[in-house]
Amino acid sequence: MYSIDMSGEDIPVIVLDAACTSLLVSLNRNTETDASWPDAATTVTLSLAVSYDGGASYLPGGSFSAKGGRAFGRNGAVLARSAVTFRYSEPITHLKGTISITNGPLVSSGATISVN
Amino acid sequence: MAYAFVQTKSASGAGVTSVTTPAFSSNTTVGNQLIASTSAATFPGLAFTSTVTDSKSNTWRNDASQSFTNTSGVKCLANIDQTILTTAGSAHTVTFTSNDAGNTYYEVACTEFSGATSTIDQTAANTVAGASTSLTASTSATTNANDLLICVFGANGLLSSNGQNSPANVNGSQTGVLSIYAVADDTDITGIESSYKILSATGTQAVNYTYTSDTSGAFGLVVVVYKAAVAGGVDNTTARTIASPGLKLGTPISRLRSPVLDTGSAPQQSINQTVGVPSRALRLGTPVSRLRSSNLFDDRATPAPPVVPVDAGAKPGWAIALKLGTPVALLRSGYDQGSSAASPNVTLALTGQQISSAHGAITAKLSYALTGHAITSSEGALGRNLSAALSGQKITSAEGTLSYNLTFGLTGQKATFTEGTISSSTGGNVTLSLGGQRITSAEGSLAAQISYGLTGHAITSSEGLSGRTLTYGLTGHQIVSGEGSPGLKATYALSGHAITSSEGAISSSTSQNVTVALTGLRALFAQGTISISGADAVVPKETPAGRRTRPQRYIVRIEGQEFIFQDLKAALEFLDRARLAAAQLVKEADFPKLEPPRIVVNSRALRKAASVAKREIAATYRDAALNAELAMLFEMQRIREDEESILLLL
Repeated sequence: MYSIDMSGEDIPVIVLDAACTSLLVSLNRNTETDASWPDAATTVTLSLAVSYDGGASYLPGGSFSAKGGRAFGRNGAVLARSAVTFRYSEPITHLKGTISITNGPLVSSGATISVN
Repeated sequence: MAYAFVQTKSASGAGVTSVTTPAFSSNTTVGNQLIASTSAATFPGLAFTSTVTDSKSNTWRNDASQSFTNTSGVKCLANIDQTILTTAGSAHTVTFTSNDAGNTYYEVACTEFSGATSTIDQTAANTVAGASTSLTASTSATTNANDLLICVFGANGLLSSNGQNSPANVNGSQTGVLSIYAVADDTDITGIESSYKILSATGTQAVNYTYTSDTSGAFGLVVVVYKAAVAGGVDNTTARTIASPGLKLGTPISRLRSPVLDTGSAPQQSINQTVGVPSRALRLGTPVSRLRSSNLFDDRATPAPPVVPVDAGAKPGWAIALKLGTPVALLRSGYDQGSSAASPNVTLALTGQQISSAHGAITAKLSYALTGHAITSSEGALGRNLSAALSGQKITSAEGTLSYNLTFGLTGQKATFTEGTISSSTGGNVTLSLGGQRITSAEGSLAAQISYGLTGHAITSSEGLSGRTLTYGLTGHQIVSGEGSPGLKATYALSGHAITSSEGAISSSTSQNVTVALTGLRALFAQGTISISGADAVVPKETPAGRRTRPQRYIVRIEGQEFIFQDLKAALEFLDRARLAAAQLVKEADFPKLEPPRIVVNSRALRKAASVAKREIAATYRDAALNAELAMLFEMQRIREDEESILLLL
């Protein structure tokens, strides 16, 4: 699992310990009690670029956007994270990306990338 | 052209508003088809839709959509969208975007197929909610054997392993059914299974999934069958024979189609020209390449193809029908064939344009009737030799229009100019270069008098250009020459004329001596004096060395009589008066047979003047004696002639 540095707009290059074919990107959202990301107009977009050749070149590796406010699961519970899984036909070795936030501020307790 | 799988990409999202797949591993291809499979859910949701876009800005179309809601209020969608790529290439991604104000759960995949069309053969959709174990969607019978079947099964149920991990059953079998993307609905609120099958036969297509669900589950299934592309781009199943429209003059060639162009990658039926009359009729749909003339087919030796009259059929005798076998290139119009009148002149009005002709394409002779017009030619476009017969006409050229050098060969001819002037409009010189040639003028051709009004100008002639002898009749005029203008030597033959110089006119601009060489001649001056100024003119005084200086006396003895003078000037003037006195004596003497006087002087400064005085007096006496003798001879001659005249009278 790799933590994403959200201090800037760019996600620094992450060298994966082992080549993987799937990434789970997780962004922590509000809990039941806090209101750090309450505004639905606050949008975060996270885009990944992945390398199949040891970091020599990168291709779009998938992206997602999520809005603020509370998201719910099937049982009505507040969704604690926004998570996206990207699948690749060949093993990837490096990844990097960008994070953009509109109508902020956005406060998140962290974002992680899990590899498979 | 059959469908073929190329590549696919997929992604999942929970609590997002959009998700974008990773880029395709290989470059996508223009003309291929991208098919997007979507299973999405949102809670709580209202009117829930999901749209598809891509990074190449292709135009997408939703071809099937099934919405369903579970008992907990979760809104779900199962969609199939597609586009035929007009823009493709590298880093191609596809984005799925929800309209939900909250956040959506996505399971999406996008697959590229070749050999595709966007034409839908059949579609089907179905949904079920609550406890269930099977869902089936059946299409109507397909009309094309090699269609592409694609389906999306969206699931929302609490039970895991509820069937999404297996490909669909198509008509009761999974044979030939390949899974594109499958994710079980376990922890999130949506799952997906998307499969495809390339069909090989027509007929209904029943797509079925089996699973296990609790009472809160909900499931949706969509199926789309796309037609495969036809070789040559003709959709043979939609080719139609229009009931006896007939081929007529005026039918656009682009409208010609064959009613028998059949299915398959190549036309399966050729037009048999020998079959019966009904099948040989031309109809809309007949390929142009199949048109043949039966006349030409039956009688190929005919040198000229028959003409199809415009009003064929109206006159029985002209009933040369256009039949299968008539080459298109031989089609002619009866009007053109029957017209024997010469074509009128063709007038081309080229405003701001030009005629471009390959070398030699324009015929050799061109006649231009140019009234009030001009011929404008860029350099080099006119041929090298232009023959212009100008009888009673003239060539008018605006200044600068004629190019650099024009050579006129006037062999046996002459150039005649009417009265006027040759001038330069620019004010510059007009230069005539006569290299190694001369100007020959017959007598009288050049005007007798050439007057040059050269005010403030000079005539400059390099040596040798002017003729050998130039005679100037300068009556009442004078030649004024600026310093140095005449050539090296100017010779003036002054017979009976004089050179008159105003006072002070002879001078040396270089402060050098002016030397007049009078060889054998003398300079005669009328009354006046030659004044000498400057240091060179000072006559040194004779002062004997070593003695007391006494005043110098100048003594002149003529025939023994001594004349004493106190200064040199007085002595010189005395010698000069002696010469004048001798001349006066000669005039007064009747017969001036005189001996020159003996003149002795005491000063070296006087010797030269005394010597000159003696020579001139001697010359005066000698000339006077000769003149007296000649006068006496002339007088004796006159007397003798008078005496002879008297004797003759007697």
